[in-house]
Amino acid sequence: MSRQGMRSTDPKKVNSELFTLTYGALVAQILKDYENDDEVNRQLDRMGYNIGVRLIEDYLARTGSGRCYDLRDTADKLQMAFKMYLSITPSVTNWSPAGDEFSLILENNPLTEFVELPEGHGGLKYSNILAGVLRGALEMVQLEVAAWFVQDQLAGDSCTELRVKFLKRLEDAMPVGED
Amino acid sequence: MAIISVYIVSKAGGLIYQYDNPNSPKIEVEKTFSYPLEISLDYQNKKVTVVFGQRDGIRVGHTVLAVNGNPVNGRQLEDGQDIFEILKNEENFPISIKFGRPKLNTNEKIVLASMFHSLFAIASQLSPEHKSSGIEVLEADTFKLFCFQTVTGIKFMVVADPKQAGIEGLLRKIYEIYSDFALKNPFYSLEMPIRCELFDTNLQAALEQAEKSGLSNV
Repeated sequence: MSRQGMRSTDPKKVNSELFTLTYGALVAQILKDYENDDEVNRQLDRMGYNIGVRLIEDYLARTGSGRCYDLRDTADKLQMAFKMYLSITPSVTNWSPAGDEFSLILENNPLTEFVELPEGHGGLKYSNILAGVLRGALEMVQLEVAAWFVQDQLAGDSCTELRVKFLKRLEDAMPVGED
Repeated sequence: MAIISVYIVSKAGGLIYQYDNPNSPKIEVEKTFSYPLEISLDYQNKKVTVVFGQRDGIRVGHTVLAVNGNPVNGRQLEDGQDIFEILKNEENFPISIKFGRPKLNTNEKIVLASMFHSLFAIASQLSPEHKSSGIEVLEADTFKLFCFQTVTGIKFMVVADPKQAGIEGLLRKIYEIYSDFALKNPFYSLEMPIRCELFDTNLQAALEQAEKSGLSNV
């Protein structure tokens, strides 16, 4: 995702396999360091959060999109962001009746392309970094959400489902002229 | 040159980046004087300032930058001599003094940036319309200040010549450069002053480009 010189408007393409393998190396290393699925999930989420708070600026600078006043709007933009950064278009479904919760269905998750989970790691949420990225990015635009995986292809489910729940708007953190 | 300076202010109102274009014209006048000095000087705000006697491009408000080529620090030369003592003594004449518009120091820039941050907030509250942005353009006879606030609350400000066009585009370009070269630098921490060389070089290239292409023919 890095760029060269002043060609900053067109993002540099990178082979997704390289990305998949790098992420795999990261997860394997964390698993070695912590030896505990829950702790690994937590670390991945935290890393994702730190990526998200930075990545959001890249997204905004590149797309010039404005503030969301509705969660459906947010869902559409998340879909667009997945397209930009991972070249996949997840479908948005399973809206809660209150419209404050939805799911992103990832049919083919580039993070897990060559992955099979070894025995005894049933608790590991391999792609948990994505949940952290989502949470961090949305927090920077004053939306507090919870994001978690409810289905995972690696665990034998038919698809990977990332659930997003809107918690609140961070009114205190709203920049002036926006509230 | 038409772009004078760039400021980036964090969401909290702290100045995280400032750049003065070295190509923008410096107002400096050097002149040799004989005794007695026809300009009245006073010591204000830790600077020796011209208070009366405007002539030959030396204006009220200019400060003494150097005496006989020696730079001035406060009211003293670098070797510790007091300027007013030197100017009192006829033996020191003829004397060459350099005057100029005082440069803002870092502290003053930080103060101004946070002041603008509040002005921006005041402007949006003062508005008769519901949901107004803050100040986007502030115009004076010698410059225009453009401000762009992102959805995340960071402000990018460019001070430019009033005739310079294409600043809105430049502000978005600077936002891109910020998101690329400051935020993707793993050693840069958010909300802290930006000290990234890649950011500097890319910003300067963007400014040069904007100056070349954006100067309107008015």
